[in-house]
Amino acid sequence: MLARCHVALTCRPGVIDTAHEGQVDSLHTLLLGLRPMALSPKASPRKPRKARPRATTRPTAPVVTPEPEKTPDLIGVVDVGSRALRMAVAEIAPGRLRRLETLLAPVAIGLDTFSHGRIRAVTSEVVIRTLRDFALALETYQLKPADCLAVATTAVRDATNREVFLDFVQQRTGFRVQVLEAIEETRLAHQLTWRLMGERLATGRSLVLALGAGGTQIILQNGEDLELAESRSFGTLKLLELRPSARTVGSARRFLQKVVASIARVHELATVESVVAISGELHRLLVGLGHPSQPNRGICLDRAGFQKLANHLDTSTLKEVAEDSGVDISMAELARMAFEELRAFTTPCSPERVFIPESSMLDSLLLDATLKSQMPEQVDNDTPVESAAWAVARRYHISITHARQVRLLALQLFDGTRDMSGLGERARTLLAVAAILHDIGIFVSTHRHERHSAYLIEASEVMGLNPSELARVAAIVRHHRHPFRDIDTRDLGPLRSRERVEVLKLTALLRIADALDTTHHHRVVRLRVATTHEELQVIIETQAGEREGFADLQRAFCGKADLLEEVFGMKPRLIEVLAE
Amino acid sequence: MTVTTVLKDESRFFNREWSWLRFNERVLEEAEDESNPLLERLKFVSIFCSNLDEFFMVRVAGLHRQVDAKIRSSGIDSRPPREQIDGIHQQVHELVQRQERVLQQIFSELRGQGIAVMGMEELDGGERAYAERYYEELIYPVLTPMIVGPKHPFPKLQNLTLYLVLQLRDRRKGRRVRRGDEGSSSHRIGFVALPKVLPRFLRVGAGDRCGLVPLESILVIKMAQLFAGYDVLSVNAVRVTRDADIALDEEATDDMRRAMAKKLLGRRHGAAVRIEHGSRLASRVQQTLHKELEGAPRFPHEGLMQPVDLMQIYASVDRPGLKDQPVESVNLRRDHADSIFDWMRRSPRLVHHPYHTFDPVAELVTEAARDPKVLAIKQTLYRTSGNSPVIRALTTAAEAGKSVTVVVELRARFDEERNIEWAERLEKAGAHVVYGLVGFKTHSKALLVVRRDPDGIRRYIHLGTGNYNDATARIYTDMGLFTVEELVGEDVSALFNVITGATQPPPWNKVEMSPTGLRGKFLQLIRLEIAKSARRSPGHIIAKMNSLVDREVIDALYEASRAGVRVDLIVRGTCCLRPGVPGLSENICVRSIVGRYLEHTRAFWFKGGGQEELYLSSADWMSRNLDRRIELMFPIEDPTHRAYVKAVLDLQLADTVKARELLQDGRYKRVEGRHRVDSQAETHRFTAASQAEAKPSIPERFIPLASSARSRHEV
Repeated sequence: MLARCHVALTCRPGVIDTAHEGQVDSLHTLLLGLRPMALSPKASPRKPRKARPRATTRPTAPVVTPEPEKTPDLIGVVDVGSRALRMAVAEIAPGRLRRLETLLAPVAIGLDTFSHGRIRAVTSEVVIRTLRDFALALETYQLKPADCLAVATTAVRDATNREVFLDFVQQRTGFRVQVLEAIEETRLAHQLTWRLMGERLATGRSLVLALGAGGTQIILQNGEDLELAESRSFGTLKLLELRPSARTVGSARRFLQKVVASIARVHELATVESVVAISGELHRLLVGLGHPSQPNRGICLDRAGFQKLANHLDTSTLKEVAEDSGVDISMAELARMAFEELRAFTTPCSPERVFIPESSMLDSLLLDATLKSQMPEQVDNDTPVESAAWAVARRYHISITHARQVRLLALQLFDGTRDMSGLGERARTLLAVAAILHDIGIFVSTHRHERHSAYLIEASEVMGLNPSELARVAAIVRHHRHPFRDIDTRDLGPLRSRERVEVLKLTALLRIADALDTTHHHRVVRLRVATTHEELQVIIETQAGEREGFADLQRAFCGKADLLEEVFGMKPRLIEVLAE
Repeated sequence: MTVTTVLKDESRFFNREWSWLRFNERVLEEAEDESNPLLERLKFVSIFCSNLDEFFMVRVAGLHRQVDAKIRSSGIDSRPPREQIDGIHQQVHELVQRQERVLQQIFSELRGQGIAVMGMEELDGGERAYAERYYEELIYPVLTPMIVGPKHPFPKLQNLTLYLVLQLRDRRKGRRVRRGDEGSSSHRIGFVALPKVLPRFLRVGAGDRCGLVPLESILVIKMAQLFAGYDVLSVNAVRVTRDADIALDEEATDDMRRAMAKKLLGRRHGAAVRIEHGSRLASRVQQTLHKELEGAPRFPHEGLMQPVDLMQIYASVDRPGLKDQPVESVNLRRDHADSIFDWMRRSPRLVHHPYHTFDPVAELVTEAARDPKVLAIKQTLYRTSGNSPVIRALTTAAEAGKSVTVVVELRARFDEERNIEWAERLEKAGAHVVYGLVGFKTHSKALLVVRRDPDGIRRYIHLGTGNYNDATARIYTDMGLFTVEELVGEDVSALFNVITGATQPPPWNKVEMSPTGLRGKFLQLIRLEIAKSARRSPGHIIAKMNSLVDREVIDALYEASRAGVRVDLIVRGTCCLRPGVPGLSENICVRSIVGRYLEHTRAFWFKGGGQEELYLSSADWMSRNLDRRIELMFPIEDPTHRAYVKAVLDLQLADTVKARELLQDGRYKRVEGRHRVDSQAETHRFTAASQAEAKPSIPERFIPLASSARSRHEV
């Protein structure tokens, strides 16, 4: 379900209980756990298990070894954001999350990056000091900075001196801060929203906006289908800093209208029913203005409420807004800008409901960590990545049916050769994404379209894939058509040797899958793999009465099986059987 | 006087300093109260004097600085500082006279009991020889005589040190000098300080006879010997009180602080604010002192100087019959053999010192230091005794590799030296010693133990109204709460993160903190009570604290009174609220209890239209607590605990022995009652009884270890 990619989860040593809780139960406690206030042993479905009398003597009973108490693991997560440093310490157990501490220290790294391009030494010092304080708080739980999952977003990502800054931070504080790619932020935002509000968003079209200080994530969802997931490099603080005239709102409004119009040209926004706006500042402001905030769902505004709020903000000065809500003026300014963004996006659709949940990057990170601890290896847990790939594929008007067929065959091939290839789940995901995207280059030109596909993939954002994975997908796609002898291994240059082998194996599978649907008629119903001493048999089930003969498939198969032979060291052979 | 004029008029407030003097007068009344045992009365004289010393060093000195900075008016009632000082002087003169009278009376009664404070002339031969040997061997080596003359400038007389001041005549110069030639006059002034390393009173006599000889009376007869070459014309005692240089930042407004900072640059540190001297000190010497000591006002004494030292007599004379009968405090953990963690998990616990012993608090720290499952201990320490078990346990814990964070307040008045010493010791052991936030004293009292229980992290909390000091816990009345409640735990965790500067104050679950939200919370609670008050069922507020000085809170209370809310205030010390004024405060009663124990609990009870709310806090209703200190307020939610605290408050409101009621004119009057109710004594009986019969104050249930404590809190 999610990408175990470059965001490595590190938690304290200790066995993670892999016992699967009922999905509903775990979701339930998790949702509760996300809000610190809601943790209650009464609400926990695990309680009955714990309800053992403590060390009471049971003389007649046989000696029963008590069920070993599983002490939950402790993790720390740190968010180096544009406006503040935040840290949370939590206990995680499968399906359970309990926040123990939340720390927030305002440090305006974003101001530096967005107005000077780099993080100034004086700001670095403040960051160091703050992180040292955080380290002290971690010590309470005998955690070390290095054990923490620490991430940074736009403010660090966009700074010209980011590497030096990160090294400086690590040397002086021990925190290994990883810079999240923008699309990873989008994925985390999506994952959290879906967790919090999945039921509400499962039907109809919804738009999720994560209105950060330095970047904005836009996710358009139609029921279960992801239509658009991308990150834009404008944010509340950035708008205010880069466009000082934005303080008059008008300029920002015009800019935002253009952005929304450009999205609306490609994606239909008019039928969006609900909008979720994730913005800590806006949430604080609205709570200050007296809007009730429900656990998980946050603040819910209907059309009238939204309009009323808009009127209030339009007719009040910033100072009045700040005084009314009791937040400081800089936060009010950011909140108002977040609202402008929200308004720009809601104008074309006029949604029935706008949700402003109380959530933050820390929530996202903790949820991610919990999900990872909960589902170490699950077969179909990469669907969000695939839906993100579909969202990209649709943009280039590919043949959906062909892509579906190739994906299906490629995955069946993968599963059939898993024993030989030694590849893991993540490789399977990459293969699926490559299958979905392998023909997008046709959008540019049919001539040597695999090359176009490859660079389009590299330039795209697929939510859930990190840049290195995206490069691998591009490499797979680049070589899916031409004879093996044309493959220039130098094209795989930047990849490490293990990754190169992985790419070659996956390329081999994709080539066969593509060959078996060469005429886009989806003749093959099912595929399996069998091996003899020297043969690798690809057995396809086809339906009787198809127009094309087996010979066509055989020809295409032979033309592309060379790489398969190379990587598995067996002679490939195509066998057709009739489907029942 | 109409309501509106009353409300705008500053006369709706009592002057803070004068009100404090009234408090000290009540302390003196305890010395005058013949129903108190003799030595206890002596102790109250000592407390009265020590209070007054601190008052001059801090409060009066502050007013002098305001005068120097030409500040026109200050204080809650906006009076010129000069006028306040004059008022203080006048009242102090009267109070000191009363103190001397009562001390005289106590001395003579003590004499009847065989305890005599006496001069050298009363000693018999053997005793006299003993005293002289004492002088030769112990006193003489540490004496430093000083002479003021043309070549010797006026010495810097140390703060709160008793000196003998002598008029001397140089024997060699005497004949040659003409009158009026001051510079080379044969007259000199000599000083010699009473050594502070020696006890003030030398004990002589054996058996029933107990003689106590003040050091100065031994010294006096040796002066001729000490100042050889001079004729000693007169000997007298003198004592200077100086500005303690404690910035009054906590109380001053911003403008005031700026003005004073500017003016004070050129001012000498530790300016004298009071000269006490024997009444027969020659006027010539008096003038010299006055001139040399910044024109400080003079306070002549008839009797014993520096009666603060009488505490030595109280401490060293072993005559139980002349002291309060010792009362046994209840140890809440006496019958509990289990670990303190199990004890706390079973239910929240309320402790009331000194009626309950301090042991459970100390035990929590000591057990936490040993327990392998404990990850961290965090504690605020404001004033604590030097070799307190708490400090020892924290040191052990830090040495054992636990994360120990101690928030030490170094600015705790007059305790700095002691604090720094143990703070260093802790730091050496590996603890994090944090000195709080810049500009804010950390006055909240919180203890947090983070323990890794089998079912996850659990936070064991103690919150209190008083300091973690095992010694004062026997004299001060304070309340504390032990709890493991999750929401409180989160708050206290966050509180420590705020104090160590790691985070901004979060929205709190249960507690409230100053300087951010506490003032607002108090005002909100008072206004809520007004809103809920109806003619048929008027609102009711009971608030108990040490001092009530804050303008905004007092005005809110006036508002409550006018809205028909009954307001019962138990304010031990300063109270600037004027009660009983028709149209302003006729529904407000203020009483003060000064007795055996120092009333130190801060408790706030609100009727809430039937939904009672009760809070304990480390904060008084004073601007300094609400605006310039880190303070904490926490709710008492357990019904048994709430009932207990309410019962204590009701008892104090019924007190007819140690209670005084504040009158409209600012005077206090002893409460008369048909029945004799001594609330402190009653509380002892009360706690002992409730311990006996209601030991499991909440019925014990068979609840699994993991969730018992938490689930029960949430009922």
